[in-house]
Amino acid sequence: MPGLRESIYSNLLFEDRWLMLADGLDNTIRVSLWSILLATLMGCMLCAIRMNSRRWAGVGVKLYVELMRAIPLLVLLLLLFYVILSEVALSPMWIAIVCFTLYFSAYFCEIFRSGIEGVNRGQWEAGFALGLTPWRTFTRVILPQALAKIIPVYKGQMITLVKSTSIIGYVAVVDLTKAGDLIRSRTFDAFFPLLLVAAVYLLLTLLMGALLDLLEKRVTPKSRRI
Amino acid sequence: MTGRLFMILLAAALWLSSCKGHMTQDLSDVNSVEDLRGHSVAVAMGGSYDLMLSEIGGVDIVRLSLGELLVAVEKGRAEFCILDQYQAAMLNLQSRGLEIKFKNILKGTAGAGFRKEDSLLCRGFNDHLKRIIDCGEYDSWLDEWKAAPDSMAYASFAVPRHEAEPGRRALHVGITINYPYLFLKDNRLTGIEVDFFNRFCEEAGYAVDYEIYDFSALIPALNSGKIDVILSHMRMTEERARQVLFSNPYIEGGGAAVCRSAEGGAAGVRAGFLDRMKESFRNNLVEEQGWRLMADGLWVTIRISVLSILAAVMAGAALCRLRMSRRRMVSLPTGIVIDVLRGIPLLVILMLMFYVIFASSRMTGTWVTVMSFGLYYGAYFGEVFRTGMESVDKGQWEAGSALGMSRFQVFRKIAFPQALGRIIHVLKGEVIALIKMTSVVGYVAVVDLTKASDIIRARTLDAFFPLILVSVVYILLAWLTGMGLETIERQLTSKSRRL
Repeated sequence: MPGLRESIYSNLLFEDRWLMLADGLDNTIRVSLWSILLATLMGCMLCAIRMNSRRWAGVGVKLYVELMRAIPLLVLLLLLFYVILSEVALSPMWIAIVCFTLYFSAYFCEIFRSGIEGVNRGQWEAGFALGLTPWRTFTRVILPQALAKIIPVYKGQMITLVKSTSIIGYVAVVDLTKAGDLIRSRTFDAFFPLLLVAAVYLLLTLLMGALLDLLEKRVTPKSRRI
Repeated sequence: MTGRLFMILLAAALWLSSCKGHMTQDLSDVNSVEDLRGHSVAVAMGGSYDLMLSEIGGVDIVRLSLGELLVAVEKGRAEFCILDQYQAAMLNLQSRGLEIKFKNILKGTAGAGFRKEDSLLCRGFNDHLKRIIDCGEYDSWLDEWKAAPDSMAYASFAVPRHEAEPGRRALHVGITINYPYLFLKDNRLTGIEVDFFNRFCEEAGYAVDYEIYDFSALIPALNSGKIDVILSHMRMTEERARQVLFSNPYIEGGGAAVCRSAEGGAAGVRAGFLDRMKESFRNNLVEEQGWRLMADGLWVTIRISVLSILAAVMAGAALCRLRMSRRRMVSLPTGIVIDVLRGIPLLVILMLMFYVIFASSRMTGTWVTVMSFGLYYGAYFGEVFRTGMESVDKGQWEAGSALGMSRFQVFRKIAFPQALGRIIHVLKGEVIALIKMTSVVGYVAVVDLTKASDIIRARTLDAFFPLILVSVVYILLAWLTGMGLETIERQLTSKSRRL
C-alpha cells in the first residue's frame, strides 16, 4: 500500500511531525490527570457540604451543581478564558484545568452523594449502636459499601472527562486533537490524522478503563479478602 | 513498597507541575517578523502566518480562530496577533488600547481555490476575472469597496443565485468569516470576495451555496468533496498549490502585527458597567441584526438536538436489543462497537463521519451531525436501556411466561413499563448532555447557537457579551428540557403504577 506509506511519511515522519502528536498526548494526559485529581477533591468537599449543611451552604452547592450541569463545557471554557479569568495570569493549560475541575466536580459531587445516600440508613444506626463515632462509622461501615456503587459511575465520568479534553484546542492548548488538526492543516490529509487521533483516544480510554477496573476490584468489599 | 510508591508519586507530581507558565516582556524593540522570537503571537490556525512563524522558530504561537485573535491580545493571552493589514486599519484599535506595531508581513496575492479536477470551472472563473479587469471595472469596484465596506454591502449586487441555469450545477463554496472580505451584514452574507463571486455566478449561471468553515478545515473539505470552491482570502503558497488549483490572483493581502499600545493598555474608554453592557447589546445584537443570526442558531441547535435524540433512541434500542441477544456471536461484537463508540471523543467521531465516511456524499453537515450524535449517544442510550431492562426482576419474565404470554408480550406489557421509569430517570442526564454537546457542530460547517456567537464575535471582536448570552440560553434550554423530562417521568411512573 504505497498510499498508506506515503500518509505515514507525510503525516508522521516528515519534519518529525509525530513529535507534535506526542506533545499533544502529553498535554492531554496532563490536563486529564490534574483535572481528575482536583475535581475529585473538590467533588468530595462539595459533597460533604451538600450532605451536612441544610442551610445556605447546602443550597449554594445545589445551585452550583445545577448550573454546571446546564452549561456546555465549551462555553464555560471560553467564558473562563476570555471573561472571568481574563485578567489573571494563568496559562491556558491551567485555565483548562480550572474549567474541568469546576465542571466535573459538580458531577463527581452528585455521584458521591447518590452513592453514599444509596447505603441503607440502618447501617449508620448499626454503626452508632456498636459505639462507633460518626466519622468511624462513615469510613469503616458506610464508605466501603458506597464505593461499590460509586466506582462504576465514577469510572464512566472519568473517561468522559478524558474525552472532553479534546476541546481545549479552543484556548490554544495543543492537545491530541489540536495536534491532529495542526498536522491536517499542513498535509491537507483528512483521513489519516483523524483516524490516528481516534485510535490514540481509544487506547487511552481503554487503558484507563482497565486500570480503574483493577482499582474497583481492590476497593470493593465483595472482591476483597478480609 | 511504600517507599517506591512515594517515589512514583513524587515523579508524577514533578511532571505534572512542569506545565508552562505565563510571561510578559517589553515589546518596544519588536519591529519585524524576526523580532517576534521569544514572544507569544496569536494567529489563525493553518493560515499563512501560522506557517511563517513555524518556519522562523522560537515563537510561542497561539493558534485561535480568526475572531478571537484581537481579544486574545486585548486580554493579555498573547502579546501580538497578526491580522490582515487592511482589516486592522478599518478597526478602531485605539479605543481598545491596541496599536499596529508593524505592517506588510508576508505581502502576497490571494485567489479562489478549486479542486484539481475542476479545471474547467477554474478557467471559466479566470476568463470572467480577466474580462472585468481588462475593461477597468474591477479596480474602481475594488476601490469603492475598500473605501466603505459597510455601505457597499448594501449597494453591491450580493444576491447569490439559488437556481442554476440548465446544464449548470450548484456550487458549494467554503468560506471563513473575515471582515471585510467575507462577512455577515443584516444576517446576509456579503463582502468583497462574496460580491465578486456572486457576480461571477450570476454571469456564468451557477447557483451558489455558502458554507462556513474553520480556515484550517477548508482544504480538507475541498479535497474530500464537501465543497467545490474555497473563497477565503487564501494566499497562494506553494504547499497549498500542490493540493488546490488556484485561480488567477484577484486581491492583495498582507499582515499587520497588533499589540497593546505602549501608553498603558486600556487607555481607551472606561465607561461604567451598565453603559458598556448597553453598548455591547447594541453592537452584538441590534446592529446588523445579530439577534436574527442568534435566533437562527438557536433554532438549528434545537432542531439538531431533537433529531439527534430521536436517532439516538432508535440506535440505542437497536444496540440494546443486539447487546442483550443470547447469541454470543451477536452480543459480543455489539459490545465491542459500543465500547469503541464510547472510547472516542464525539468531536473526532463527527469529523471522521464528515471528512472520511460521508466525504463523497453530498449530505449536509446537519445530517452528518444527526447521524454522528445518533450513533455516539446511541451507545450511551443503549447501555442505559440495558441496565434499565436488567433491573427488572427475572421473576417478572417468568410470571409473564407462566401466564401464557409470548416473549414480546411480556416485554411490552410487563418488563418495559417497569423499566421505563428507571430509564427515563437516567436518560434525563444523557439528553441534557447531548443538547450541550451540540455546541461542537460548528466544526462541520453547521451554524448553531455557539457558531452564531462565534460569527458575531468575529465581527464585533467582543468576547464578553455573546459568550454570556449563549451560556444563559444553554442554561435555560437545559433547565427546560430537564423539567419537561421530569414531567414525563412523573406521568409515566404514575401510569405504570395504576396498571
